[in-house]
This record gives sequence, structure tokens and C-alpha cells, in this order.
Amino acid sequence: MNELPSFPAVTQLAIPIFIAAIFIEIIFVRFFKAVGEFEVYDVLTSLLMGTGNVVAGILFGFISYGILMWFWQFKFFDLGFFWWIGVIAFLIDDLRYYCYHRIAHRVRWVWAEHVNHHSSQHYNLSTALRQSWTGHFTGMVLLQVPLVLLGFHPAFLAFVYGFNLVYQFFIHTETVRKLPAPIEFLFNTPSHHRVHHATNPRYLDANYAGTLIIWDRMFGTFVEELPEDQPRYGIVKNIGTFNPIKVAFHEWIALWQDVLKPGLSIMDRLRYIYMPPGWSHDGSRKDSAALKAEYVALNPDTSGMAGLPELPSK
Amino acid sequence: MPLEILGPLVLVGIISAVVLVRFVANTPPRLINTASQAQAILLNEFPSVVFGSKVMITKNGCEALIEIKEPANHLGLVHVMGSKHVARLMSVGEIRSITNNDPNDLVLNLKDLTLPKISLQFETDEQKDAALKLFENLKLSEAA
Repeated sequence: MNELPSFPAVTQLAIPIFIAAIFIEIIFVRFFKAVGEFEVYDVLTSLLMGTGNVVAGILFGFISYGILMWFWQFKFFDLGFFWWIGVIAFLIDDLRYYCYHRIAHRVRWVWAEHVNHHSSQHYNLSTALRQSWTGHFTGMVLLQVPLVLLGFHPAFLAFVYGFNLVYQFFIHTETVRKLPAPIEFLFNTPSHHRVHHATNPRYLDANYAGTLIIWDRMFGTFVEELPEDQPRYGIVKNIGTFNPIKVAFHEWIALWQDVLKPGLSIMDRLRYIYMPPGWSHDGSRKDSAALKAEYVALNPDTSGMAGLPELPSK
Repeated sequence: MPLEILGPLVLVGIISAVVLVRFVANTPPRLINTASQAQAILLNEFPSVVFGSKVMITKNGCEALIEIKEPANHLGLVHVMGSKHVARLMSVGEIRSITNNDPNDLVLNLKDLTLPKISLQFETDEQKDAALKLFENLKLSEAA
């Protein structure tokens, strides 16, 4: 059996780099006219959400790790800790992240923890740190079980995932516009991720990538950022608070209010949990498909463009 | 990283970033100055909406009430939040209560966890009454 190395906590070690990068971005925007915008309460909320995320990881990280270590006993192989195994683990776990992220936007149960990250109407490096407090309770750790059974040790997976998260920090900026074409083709970039954070109908539910944008290109969820459709950031129904407690739990509360509404069938209650955000039993709300269809109906020349449906034929 | 290093590092980082933004790079609130500005903000989030004729802007430019023809039985609300805006299409069911306060003030209580209470301060009593009328029309059209 391979001896378990002592892996550093990559994201914690990167905190000084995150702080320095935020300062540099602020300086560039203020003094060098780089694209970007800051608002003091928004930045404070984002940083407090990041702090809460770190605390939640310290307090509850054992849940996810414990689950994966339980499955480790059933592994088919033990791939060890060679550096090239780490590279393979990174790539496969990046695909796993794409799957998690797509579920997080299409299943309300997981959206309830992920919505926090999208709740800012700004897009700068502090937004990258606006992270969930409840991620350990959604069950999404189960997506890593196949990797564990294949022989990637849970500690190794956590280690390589740290690099994925550190990479993603740097794409949360408006100051970097487009990178060279080969990078834009292969990697998640600030431009691709601006699309992901935007609520413009064409940009909804697109670009789920962690590090590699190739997964979105392969699975049909890629949408290019268009200069004529500047991203508007936030969520479809923007929150009206900077209170981090409300930011962290508002969608969970809304979810349970819907599930516990009087007079609903069991199936409708379950649908409020697993259907996409915006679904309602009485059709009173609009999900992203309805918003896209509405946009195309109002702008027929956009029919069939990336991220938008075809106009229904008459 | 040991907590005794992580804790102070995070604290100093947050304070420094917030102070830097506050004094160097803060974007001031984008106040609502005109009816067309308020309608444009609402249209961004509700592109199918058809406006009525009335738009009531509060005296500090932080809120606007917008009369809506379609969808029926709704009233538009735009609220300044930092340097951005929050928009709502309110129906009667989303309003908990309206409190008629000082001479020119209304307090709007909503069934909205993230935006539960808004204070609407108008220049004159007549403007406040006009805003109240918009809410009354909402209740009447819902009841009809």
C-alpha cells in the first residue's frame, strides 16, 4: 500500500496571493483605467462569504472526506501518488467539476448552495471568494466516488482540486479581456467565465468549466462572450441585501418555503427540489429556458444563436 | 496553515481590501434621476413588461415605483443597492404591508427575505399620495 504523503492545503496557502491580487486589480482599475468596478459593501460581503467558506471547510470538511475514505476501502486499484497520476487526477476531477457545476445550475437542491457565488452584481477578484457555506451538505461529494474507486486517493483528489480552485480565482475579473486564441480554446478564461456569471438570456446556463473549457465545447454548453451583448452579472432575481447570513441561506429558505407550501402534491414538492431554478408548479415563474425563449421572441434575429433557442416554427 | 496565522491574515486582508476600495476605488450609488432611467433598469430584468404612464421617484433617488400595464396586476419597483439596482415586479401577494409614516414617507414591507423593507421618501405629500394610489390600484385590479 502506498504511504500517504502530507499534502499542503493549497487554497489556504494561496490566501496571501489572493489578497495581493485583489489589491493589484483595485490599483489597475483605479489608476490605470483597467475595466472593472468595485463597491465597498459588495467586496466586504464577498470576503466574509469566503471566510465563512473556509470556516465551513474546517468544521465540516470531515463529512466529505470521511465519505470518500469509506469508499476508498472498495477501490479497484491503488494508483499511488506519482506526479503523473496527479496530472491525470486533475484532468478527470476537472471533468467531475464540470458535471457538479452543471448540476448546480440545473437542480435547485444544489443551486441553493451554489447561488451564493453568483449573487454579486459585480465581477472582480473579490467575487471569486464569495463562496458557499453549505457545500458539504448537498451530497455532491458522491461525484468523486468513481474517482476514488478507480484508485485516486481522496487526499490526492483534494490536493489537485486545490489547484483547480486557485486557477478559477484568477478568471473572476473584467480587467483581462481576451487571451490568445489557443488559451481561449482550451482553458476557462476571464471572458468565458464572465459569460457564466452573466444573466443575459443568451449567457444563462453556459460555460460550466473549472479549468478546461473543452468540456463545455464537447457537451454543447459553450457560449462565446459577445462585445455587443455585455454581461450583466448577478442572478435572475437579484438579492437586495449585503448581509452574508441572508446571502448564504436565502435560497435554502426559499426552497423549503416552496416545498412546504400547502396544497401541493408529493411530486410537485419533490420537483421543487430537483427541477431547475425557476420551475414552479403553477408556471408563475420563469426558468432559464423560458427566459431564453422570451428573449428570442422579442429579438427574432437572435434565433438559433449560441445559447439561444430557435424560434418555434408556425 | 496554522489558525493563529490564518486568522489574523484573513482579518488583515479583509480590512485592508475594504479600506482600499472605500478610499480609492469605490463606485458611488447610481441614483435614479429620470423615469426613463428607472424603466430601462426594470426592462433589463423584465424585457416583456409594458409600462403605464406613472413613475414615482423618491426624493433621494434610491427607489422608483413604476406603473405596469402588462403583466396585469403588477407594480414595478427599482431599488438602488450599492452601485447597482434591484428590480421587482410586485403583485399584491408579494406585499406584506404598507405603512403610512411621516408626512411624506411610506414603508413598504415585502415577503422577500433579501429585500424585506423599503422606506420610500417623497418630496411632497401629494407625491406620497400618488404612490399610495398606485398600490391601491394594484389591490383593486387584483380583486377584480
